[in-house]
Amino acid sequence: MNEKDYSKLIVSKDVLKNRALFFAKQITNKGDQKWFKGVHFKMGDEHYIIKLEDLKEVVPFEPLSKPPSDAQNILGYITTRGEIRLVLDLQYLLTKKSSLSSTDKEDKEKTIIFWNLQDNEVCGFLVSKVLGVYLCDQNLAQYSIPTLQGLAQEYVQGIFEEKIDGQVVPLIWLNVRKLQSELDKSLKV
Amino acid sequence: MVRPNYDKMSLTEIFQLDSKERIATLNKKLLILEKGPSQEIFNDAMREAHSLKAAARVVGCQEVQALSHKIEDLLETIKNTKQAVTQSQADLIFKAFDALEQTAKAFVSSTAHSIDVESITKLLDDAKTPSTLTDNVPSSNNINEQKPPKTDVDTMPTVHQTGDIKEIGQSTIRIDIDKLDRLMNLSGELYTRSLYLEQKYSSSKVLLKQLRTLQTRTGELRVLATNPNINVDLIHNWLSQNDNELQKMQQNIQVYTRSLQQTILDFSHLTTQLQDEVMQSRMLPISTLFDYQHRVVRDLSRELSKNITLKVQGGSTPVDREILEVLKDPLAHLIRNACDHGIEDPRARAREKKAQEGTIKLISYYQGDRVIVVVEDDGKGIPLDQLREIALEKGIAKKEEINRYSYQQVLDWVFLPGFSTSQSVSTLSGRGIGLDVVGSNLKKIGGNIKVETKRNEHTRFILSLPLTLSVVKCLLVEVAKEFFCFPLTRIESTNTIKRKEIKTIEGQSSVSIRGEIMAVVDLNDFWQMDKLRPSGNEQNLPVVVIGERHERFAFIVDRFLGEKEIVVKTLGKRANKVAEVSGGTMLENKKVAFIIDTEKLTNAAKNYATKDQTSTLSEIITTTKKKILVVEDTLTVRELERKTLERHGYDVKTAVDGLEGLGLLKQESFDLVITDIEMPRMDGIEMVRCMKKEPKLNNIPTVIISYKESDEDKRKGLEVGADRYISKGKYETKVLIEAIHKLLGA
Repeated sequence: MNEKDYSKLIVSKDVLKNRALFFAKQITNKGDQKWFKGVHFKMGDEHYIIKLEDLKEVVPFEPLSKPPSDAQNILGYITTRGEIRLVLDLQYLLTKKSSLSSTDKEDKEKTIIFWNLQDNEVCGFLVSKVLGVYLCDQNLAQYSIPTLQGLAQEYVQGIFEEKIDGQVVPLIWLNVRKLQSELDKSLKV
Repeated sequence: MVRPNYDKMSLTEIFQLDSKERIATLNKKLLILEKGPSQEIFNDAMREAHSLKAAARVVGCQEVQALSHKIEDLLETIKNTKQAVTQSQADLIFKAFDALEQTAKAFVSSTAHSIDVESITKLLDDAKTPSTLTDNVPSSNNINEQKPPKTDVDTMPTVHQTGDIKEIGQSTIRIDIDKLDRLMNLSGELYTRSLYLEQKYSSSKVLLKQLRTLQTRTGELRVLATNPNINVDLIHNWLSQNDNELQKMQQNIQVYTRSLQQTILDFSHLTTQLQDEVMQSRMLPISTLFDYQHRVVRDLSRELSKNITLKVQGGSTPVDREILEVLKDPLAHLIRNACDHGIEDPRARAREKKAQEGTIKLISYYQGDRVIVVVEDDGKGIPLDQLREIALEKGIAKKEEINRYSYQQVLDWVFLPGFSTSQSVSTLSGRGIGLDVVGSNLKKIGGNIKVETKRNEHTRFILSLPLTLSVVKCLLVEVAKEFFCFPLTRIESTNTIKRKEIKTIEGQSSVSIRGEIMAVVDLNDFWQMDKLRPSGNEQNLPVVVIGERHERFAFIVDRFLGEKEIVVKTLGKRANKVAEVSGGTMLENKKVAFIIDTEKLTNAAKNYATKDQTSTLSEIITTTKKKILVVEDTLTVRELERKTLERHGYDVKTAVDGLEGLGLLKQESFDLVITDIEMPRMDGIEMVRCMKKEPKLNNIPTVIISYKESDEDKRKGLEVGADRYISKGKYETKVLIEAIHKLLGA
């Protein structure tokens, strides 16, 4: 049965139920597949993914307030939902090189994504663009990633290859836990 | 009462809350039972012990289970004897309560403890034997009929009565259902108002549509106007239609503006109310803290063999839980001091014909936007003579000056580090540490402490604290285009200085402000903020002066933005690498203003060396201190003026009449002269006239201060060349200092 067949049926509760069961079966039939929803974002030319459950929210860029600090990965603070939240330079955390020039930091095209950290705190990261939610099959992730330059391997949980705008691009699945532990080390938490 | 969100709590966390409450209640009940037997109170206490045992069984905390079981047993045995709890039994049970507390705490935090539970349970068992039970027991023939003795403890709200017994320092809090209802109502009201805003948005769209129609019509008119054969009636017709549209639009805008204004007012009112309510929900009655002191005083009385009672007044005063947390240690210290140093032993009290029982009062009340806590004892008072002797011994005061210090100044010495009147060091006090820590801890949160005493009558410590730490009055400043808040309570003064006034002394940039030399730190350089300072501000640098005596710092900022009451927000756990900042607040422009931790800042500034080296200490004193000559024949007035001017940072010389003044003017150089008129040998008018004739002296600004107040006198004074004429009848320090500042351009 395909999508078109359904259009010919009289829509009733039973039909909807059967349809739901059909699709549910399709997923369970795949047996050893491990699916997760990943948030797909871009930083510079690279594409990244983190699990949807690790994401708190996405907010448009607003000018950051910069506190006195010698920590290079601290970009500043912004206020959202009555809270003052820290925003960090994800690129610096990953490569120890900030890809953001001072003008980038003011770039209104950018987006801030907030992650849920393990200690119930929320931390923001400045990214170029959030592209959407992507359904990922963990089994398709590649773990050998010789092509990635300058990116610490320990932060990469896997790579998915995906066709975007006619080109196959690697989606880097980030290990959020590892990043947090590294981040906490650098911030002396 | 609303229970904490138990769904999100583990069983162990619930046990932690439960055990704390029950142990606190057990303590209160035993304090009452110690005063006299009561079946009702015995039953209450046994019920608490029993419930605690049950709770411990659920979580598998065997030690608490065993201890509470034995306590329940012992209480039942004592109850059956129909006698009150003896002191030795009470001591043992209190010890068992402490053991309960510590073992429960260790269980919850999965840490080790040093309590010998086995021997305590054995002691509790032994205490049930008849010989122990009859020891020093105040008997009662019929326990069932006896009412519980009335004590202060009895009137204390118990955990369950108020539901507010929240352990201070815990991360959960119980909120009264009425408070929560009010919050719900307010948030509901806010939601409704937000719907009004949607309506306003629709109205603004209507207005925009009307405006577009008008624009279209104007375009049509332009087209019409290009036609040379245009019909005038058509234009009239068009204009009258347009007038109607404009009037309609004007009316709509008026209605819209009025209603928008009302909505803004409602929003402002509601948000303020909501903020107040939320603040209120963070408050706890101060009895939460005071209640613990009953047990402390009881134990200290026993330890010191004194008879002391604690009386509490104003226990229901609500105080921010963070303030209670900070107050905990200072209060414990003051209570210990009162028991140890304040209240005399029974024999000494008898000698002074005082009641055998000493009293410590804990009083709390509101005074404006402050909460006042008074710790008063009716003991021997603080001996001022002894304070003076210690001050001499420790070199705090000089022998020739000792009698010049006022009563309050002498008493304030007790807050100096290492200052103690106790002749022996006990486990409780006497080492001279503590009161200074009490003072500095209170200062950290914007509080202060004062002491009053009367020999053989009382010692009274008065603590003044802010109502909340969540809202703080601050000075908002700008540094490198970022915003910072200095808590007002930590600021000594604010000034503006000139760059050229900054000198380097022993490698540190320094400046003289009102005669006091202090280190100066440019926050822009100090924090290496990479943005440019606003231009045109180099000549007048705003500085915020912070610090204690002899250790003040002037911090250069870019701009003062005014005083502000701010809501303090945390920056989160990951703010460790953010320097010298204790929190933040949200500004109207959605930017964050960082709250400066002044203590951290001054500590960091101590090590901050500067680059410019231009002059030495002696140079800075001579170059920055302006020299003033005071010519006055009356000693009192002369000294008053001298001290006033010195206090304001001037170098002052005096002369008793015009002749002496003129002589000094010729020998030394002065920046300004202040003179009286009527003086022996040469009056002030004559002296000024002579000065104006001397080329070297005629540019020195001159101020006349005289009792002569008539216009004629003033005219005479100004005519001979004086720059200002101040009448002594209207003399005020402020007026004089302002005149001097103007004349010296300072």
